[in-house]
Amino acid sequence: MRRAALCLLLTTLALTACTNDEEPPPGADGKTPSAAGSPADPARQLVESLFAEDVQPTPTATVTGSLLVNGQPVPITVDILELRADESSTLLRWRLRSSTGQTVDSLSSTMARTGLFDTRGIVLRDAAGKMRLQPYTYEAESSENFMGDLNCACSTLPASVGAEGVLLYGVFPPLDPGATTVDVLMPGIAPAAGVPVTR
Amino acid sequence: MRALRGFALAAVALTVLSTLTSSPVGAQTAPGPDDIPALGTFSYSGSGGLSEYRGIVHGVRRVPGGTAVYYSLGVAAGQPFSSNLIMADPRVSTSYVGGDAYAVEVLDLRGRRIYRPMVGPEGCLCPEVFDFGSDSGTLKVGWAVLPPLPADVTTVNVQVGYGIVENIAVQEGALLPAMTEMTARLGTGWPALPSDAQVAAVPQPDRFVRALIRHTADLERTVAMNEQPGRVAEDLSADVLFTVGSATLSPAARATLQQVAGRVKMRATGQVTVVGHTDATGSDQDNQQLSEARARAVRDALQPDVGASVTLVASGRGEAEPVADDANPEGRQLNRRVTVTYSFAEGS
Repeated sequence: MRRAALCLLLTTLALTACTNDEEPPPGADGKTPSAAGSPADPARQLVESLFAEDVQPTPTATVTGSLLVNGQPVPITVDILELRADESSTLLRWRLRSSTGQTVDSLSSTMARTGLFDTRGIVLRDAAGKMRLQPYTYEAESSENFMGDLNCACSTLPASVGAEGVLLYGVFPPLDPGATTVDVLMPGIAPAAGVPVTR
Repeated sequence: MRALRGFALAAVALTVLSTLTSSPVGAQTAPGPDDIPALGTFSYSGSGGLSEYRGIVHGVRRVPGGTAVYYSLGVAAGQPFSSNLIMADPRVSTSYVGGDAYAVEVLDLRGRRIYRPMVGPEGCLCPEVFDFGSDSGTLKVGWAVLPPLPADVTTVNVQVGYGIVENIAVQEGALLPAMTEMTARLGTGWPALPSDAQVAAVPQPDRFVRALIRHTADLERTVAMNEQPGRVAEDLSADVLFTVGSATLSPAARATLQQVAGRVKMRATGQVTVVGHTDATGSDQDNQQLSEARARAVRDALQPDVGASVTLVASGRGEAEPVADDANPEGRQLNRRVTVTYSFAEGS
């Protein structure tokens, strides 16, 4: 619903832009910050549209489990929001939220390895391709202090998480072209079986 | 002129419209003084999890000596904007320093490369996180200059802070008009990029291009392949190869090792390392000895099948190099492994 309102707003913005000759251009002289504050200026409308956008889509799967934080299990819930694949990669979008309704600490190595707090331990089990896939990682720049692939093309866990949750992601290798569903496996969390793949 | 301006703005709005309706957007927007290109949006919580940061990628642009990424970032009115939380602290083994707004990266997934901001003699070719100020309800435009993208790369993914945007079209030239500030309030112009001379002064720009390591395994997780261009590390599950606490190969190990040997014989060049690893259960000394003994067992099993064109070198690391959290059983299982690493010619 909010997305529909946003579309209407942007359509209005487009039409206004085509017909209103009197509005000063945004930033035409690079020194007119007041233009960015006027009600009709596109920058202002972009800002308002962005903050009004609904970025909490309906999950395709919800599973529960716990993260180990300072040695103690913290109950959390995972919403799988989207699993989109193309010929070069697979993008998983998901949401981590507290299971208790209270804000809880969530900085954990459960999904990474000791000392790291990213989510490289997430696995996509692709039965069609007979493969298990994990997010891409990469090494720090070459130097005398080389310490391996400390970096991940995936989210780092937040320090804390509340009932509303935080949006996270991971970039994986491509799935088998015939895969229509995969299982999403997260350390410490129940498997999310049969998550639909969009292409 | 006004009509042209109107059409340009309409194009911007429709670009934003299509972006926010979740269609991957690669729309080209002609650069001009009146445009606010919005090629994709992102959203994330900062490291403190207190605010929801939202932003827009405005451009990935080829500029002399590099690739400029323009993005804007902010929080809704009423939420705290903590500039020190918008990006993680730089890790060790990098040239970035605390305060750099360095977490702006371009993913070329076809070429399996990630491009990171360059660091020159005067520091990161990026602003500092503190340049974003602390205002809420607005967007501040930031930037970073990365190494040049190959000419055939037309779309990329962009990571900003803890967020990601897909399918951004690569375009030509810096955004104009350019201001003098390191960041700019959206709609007031674009931050000025470093001079061509500053970009050209970056030593070894290729070090800011990193290969993406591809991690795959069979469904039984007997062999996990960690592959980047020209180099692969095969993690062999010690639980499959050996009986518990032993360096004696199990009956099931033979088939797995024959497959590994076949790949090594077909692809490997030069030296092949065989490294044993354990979990953290038991003493350091016992784990070190077990890891060495298991590596030797795998080396000896592979040697007859790989031929004389490569050299197998065995060693053990004990529990010192875990690949998963040792605090849980699944992590410990992954840490018990023997890793066979070799280089290969691209295309083999």
